[in-house]
Amino acid sequence: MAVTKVAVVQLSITGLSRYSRPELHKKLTFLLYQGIEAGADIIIFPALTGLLFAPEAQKILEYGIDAKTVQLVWRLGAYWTMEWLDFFRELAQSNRVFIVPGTTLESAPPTMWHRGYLLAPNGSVLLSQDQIHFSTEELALGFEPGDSLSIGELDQVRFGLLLGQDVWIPEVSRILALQGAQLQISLQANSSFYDYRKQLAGSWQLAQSNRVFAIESCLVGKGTKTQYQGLSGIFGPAQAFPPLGILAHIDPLLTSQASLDLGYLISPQKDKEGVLIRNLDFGLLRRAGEQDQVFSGFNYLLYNKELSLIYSETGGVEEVKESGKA
Amino acid sequence: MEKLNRLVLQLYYEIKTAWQMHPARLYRILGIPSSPPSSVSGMKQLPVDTARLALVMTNEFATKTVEELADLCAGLIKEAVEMDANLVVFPPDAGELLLQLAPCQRKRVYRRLQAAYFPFWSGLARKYQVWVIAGCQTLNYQGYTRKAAFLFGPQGQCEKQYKLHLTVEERKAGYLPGKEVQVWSTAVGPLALCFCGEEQYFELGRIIAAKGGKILISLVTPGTALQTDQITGGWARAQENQIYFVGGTNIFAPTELSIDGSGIVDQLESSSKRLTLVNLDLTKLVEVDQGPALARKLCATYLPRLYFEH
Repeated sequence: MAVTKVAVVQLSITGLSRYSRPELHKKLTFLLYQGIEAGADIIIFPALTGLLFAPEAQKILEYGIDAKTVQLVWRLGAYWTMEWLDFFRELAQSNRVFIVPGTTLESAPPTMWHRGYLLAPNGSVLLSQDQIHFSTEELALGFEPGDSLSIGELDQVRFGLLLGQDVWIPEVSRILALQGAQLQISLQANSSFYDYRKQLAGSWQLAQSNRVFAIESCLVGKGTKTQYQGLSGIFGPAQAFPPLGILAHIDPLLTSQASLDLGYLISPQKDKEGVLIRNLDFGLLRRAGEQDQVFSGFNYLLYNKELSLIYSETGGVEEVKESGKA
Repeated sequence: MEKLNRLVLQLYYEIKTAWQMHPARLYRILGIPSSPPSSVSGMKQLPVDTARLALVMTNEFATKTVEELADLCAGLIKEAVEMDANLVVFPPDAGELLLQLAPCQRKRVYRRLQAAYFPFWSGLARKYQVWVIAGCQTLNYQGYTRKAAFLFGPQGQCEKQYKLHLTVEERKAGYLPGKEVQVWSTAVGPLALCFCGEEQYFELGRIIAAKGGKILISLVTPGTALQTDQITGGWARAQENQIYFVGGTNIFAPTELSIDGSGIVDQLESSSKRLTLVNLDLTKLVEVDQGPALARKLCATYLPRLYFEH
């Protein structure tokens, strides 16, 4: 598949508690159909979409993840996960599209996983991925980091999922890219301040440093105690897609910019719902040969020596060398 | 006969250059004792709170004699020291300034001039008791060609960092990459050097940070890097590793450390001044949010193996 059409959903939870189950289904189907009508091959929903499928789980979205969450997920997680996946399975089958239905929380006390999926057009799970990097606070709540990075294949296109903070760890996207992932999908639900600069250090950055397509799908909106912020976008290498490699963005101002403005702070779109649709030309990406240019610069001997140390248990921390010493 | 005359003239130029560039003569021009102390290994650098760097912004180094060039460079360093700078960063081309004095285009003359680079810059660093980054040079040794950037210390010491990430063109031209990342303890704190473009590799930032580096200086000619490259390079490395990045006219820091949260400490006008002083507060780096701990075990499962398999 040289060209893939993607639809990226920025989903708002504002007013969510007023939604009945049929209304929720209607809302998600409506967003999905915007992609279907545009001819999308793959439709992507943001992180924590799975939590919309049980009233108890909605509380997690509304009030945030806390110490009780792991117990709640353990008691009821399997039910809402099943309902959520079944809902999207049916849509994938009936519309013959790939769907990333977002993520959910799964648990086996005392641990909890933040897990994302990709569904094939026949409804089967093509790929699942756990979040790997968590803050100290999240780890204290019982989150268990994932221990592998999976690659899926969609015709001839390889892709990977990045959940939450993994997008800001350059090793994760590099590992995916070295395994051939030309499309990297970041699923986000940020309950802290989020802005354009954070995105430049995350999804946009990974597209540039690995010369791949990167997609960011964000959960946004206001819960009772939690406010989710995000800026969904589709990015590619700036060398192949000038001037900036921003192919589509929920904030139209950013799509039309000719230069990156690190001072650009507040985007009115970071709480709004919407669907971005864009063709990704993998043929163009390959022909540009940009990845070969970057990857040919790797210093294998250096990496073999130094990175092995850094990723070892001790972290390879060394004393700074005194000048003049051998 | 004409050929003989030319050969004699070339020999004369070679001998003249050798005499002009003799270390003892260079030290006399600079007005310092003839040789640096034999060992400086006992020097212990004290921890640094604020790094004061003077960046040389001018590119006007055209001179006809070594005395003029010494005056020009010494003037800039003196000015920097008077501004309280502990490190003076010259543009990348500084490595080849002496070559402009070649009286003829003869390899052996160029070699003499290249060799004079070391006493010239180490002498300047010693005279003003300051650290100096004096651009880069291409070194040929036993048939191997490498690019190296140089740091000179107040004791006259000379440290070098070979280029680690080569472009396709450099590989084709037979260059070899370096094998080690150096981080030096200096009067501006733990410092590392890289060549323009190398900062695009996150791996380099990771290694420098693991070795305790707090400042990464890239040898970029002021005003030459594209804006996107600046953000995917130095800006990103500053965010990922909580370090300062200095390259060309840009000084980047973790976003929390800049007044407007942009991560830009300063973006200097390349032609406004001959010299610009930059203060970097190293103590603030420890206050920066370190982000989630790196999943070392997972990384070790894939890296560095995948680099070889790719």
